[in-house]
Amino acid sequence: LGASFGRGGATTFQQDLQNADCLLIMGSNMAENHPVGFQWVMEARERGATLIHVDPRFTRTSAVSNVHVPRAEKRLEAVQDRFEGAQLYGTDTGDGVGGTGSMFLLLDKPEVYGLPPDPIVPTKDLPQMWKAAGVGAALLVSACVVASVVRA
Amino acid sequence: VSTSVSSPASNCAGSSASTSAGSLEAERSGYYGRSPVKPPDWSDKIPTYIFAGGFAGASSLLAFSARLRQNEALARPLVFGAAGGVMVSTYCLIFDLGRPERFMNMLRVFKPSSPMNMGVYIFSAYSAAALLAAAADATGIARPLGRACEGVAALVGPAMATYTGVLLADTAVPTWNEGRRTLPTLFAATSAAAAGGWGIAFAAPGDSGLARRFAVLGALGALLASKRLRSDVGPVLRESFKEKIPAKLSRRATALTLGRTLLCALLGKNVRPFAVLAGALFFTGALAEKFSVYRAGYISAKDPKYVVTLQRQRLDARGGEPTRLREPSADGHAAGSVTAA
Repeated sequence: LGASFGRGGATTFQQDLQNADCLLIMGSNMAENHPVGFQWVMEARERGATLIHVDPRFTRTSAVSNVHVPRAEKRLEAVQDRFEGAQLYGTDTGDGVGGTGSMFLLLDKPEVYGLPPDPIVPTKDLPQMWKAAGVGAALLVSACVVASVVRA
Repeated sequence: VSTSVSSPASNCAGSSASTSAGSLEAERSGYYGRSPVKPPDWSDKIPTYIFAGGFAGASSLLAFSARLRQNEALARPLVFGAAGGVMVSTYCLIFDLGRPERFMNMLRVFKPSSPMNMGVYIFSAYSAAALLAAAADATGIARPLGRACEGVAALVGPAMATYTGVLLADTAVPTWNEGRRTLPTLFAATSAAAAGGWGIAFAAPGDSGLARRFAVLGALGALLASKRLRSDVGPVLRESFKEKIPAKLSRRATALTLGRTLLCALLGKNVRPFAVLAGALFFTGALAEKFSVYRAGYISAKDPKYVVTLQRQRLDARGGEPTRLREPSADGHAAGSVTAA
């Protein structure tokens, strides 16, 4: 850029992004890595611009773009009649691990590709675990009370 | 590294064998024979910590109960036993960190979603109380303060004995995570057996009735809890308890229960050497049980057949529904919120 345009950095000011009709983000997770600049992308999106994200990863930028998951879904439809078990993997933010951080179009079950079929985040059951610890502690105390009261 | 050649995937491959990739499924389990879950990078210091800390916690509780009954002959060895347990667990916990000063780093945050962080506070409060109580008892200085500390230690002791169950359950290790409902109770019960055993061994048979009853209740509780743990984790993970080392440890723990209970009930009441033996059996039985659970979990994480089969069953239970697609919102944008700064 420096050689061609005389300036190696951005050739426009970020605020102007809001006036764009279509934005193409390639290979960057702008939402997380450039959050200050990304507000103008969001502004453009609010005004009806189309946001296209090109990235094998499924990031927060992909999550708000118009053309990322929908495009993958279209592709999925195209291959589904040829591959019965075809599916998208890693795009679901409600899958227990909040998405895998990368998107895969799989032609078969995840295991075939060495991916865990149903990952979870153990911490989601933490309240239940603390409750179980409370029950254990209560049982321990009652055992002590019983041992102490019976045949004193 | 145990690479399981007999892939459980082959049993379920049938329907998808139409694709070229499907035929590979039989060859692979996990990620090219490796487990998708990494077993914890812990040495034996951690299960030792779990045991020693639990033993100390239950000992403090029992000591307090003995004090209430004015049974000094039983309370004293238990107070000292608890202090010993604290010293062992302090060593294990801090030196497992590699750099001891990391312990201080954990005291800089307060995070209820981290059992490790909560545990550091439980452990700090408990160990201070238990050590002060023992020091006051040994030196005779500041007795009332020592008694107050015993009360605090008895209060925090049960948390000390059970929080470690949460610590193990809140990991991706399948056997521990699936056993989350029972692990704390099992740990409490084995702690009771160990503390009772200590009391039986170090107090005269005439004074140790309380400890005997506590130990028997603990040992029976541990037997029931370990049964329930095996039913909690389901048929696949139950196999992880049958692997060589956990099975050996578990057999040692359970086979001794009947013997030691009898020994304690019949002979330990009057004859000191038998009482010491019975106490030692309770203590080692509890140790074996905890190590068995630890080892079973370790194996269940290391071998992909446990991790993957469990997840596949969970998926099948949901009707084989693949990773759910996100619902696009009304304006055509995918649902999801990014707040730009």
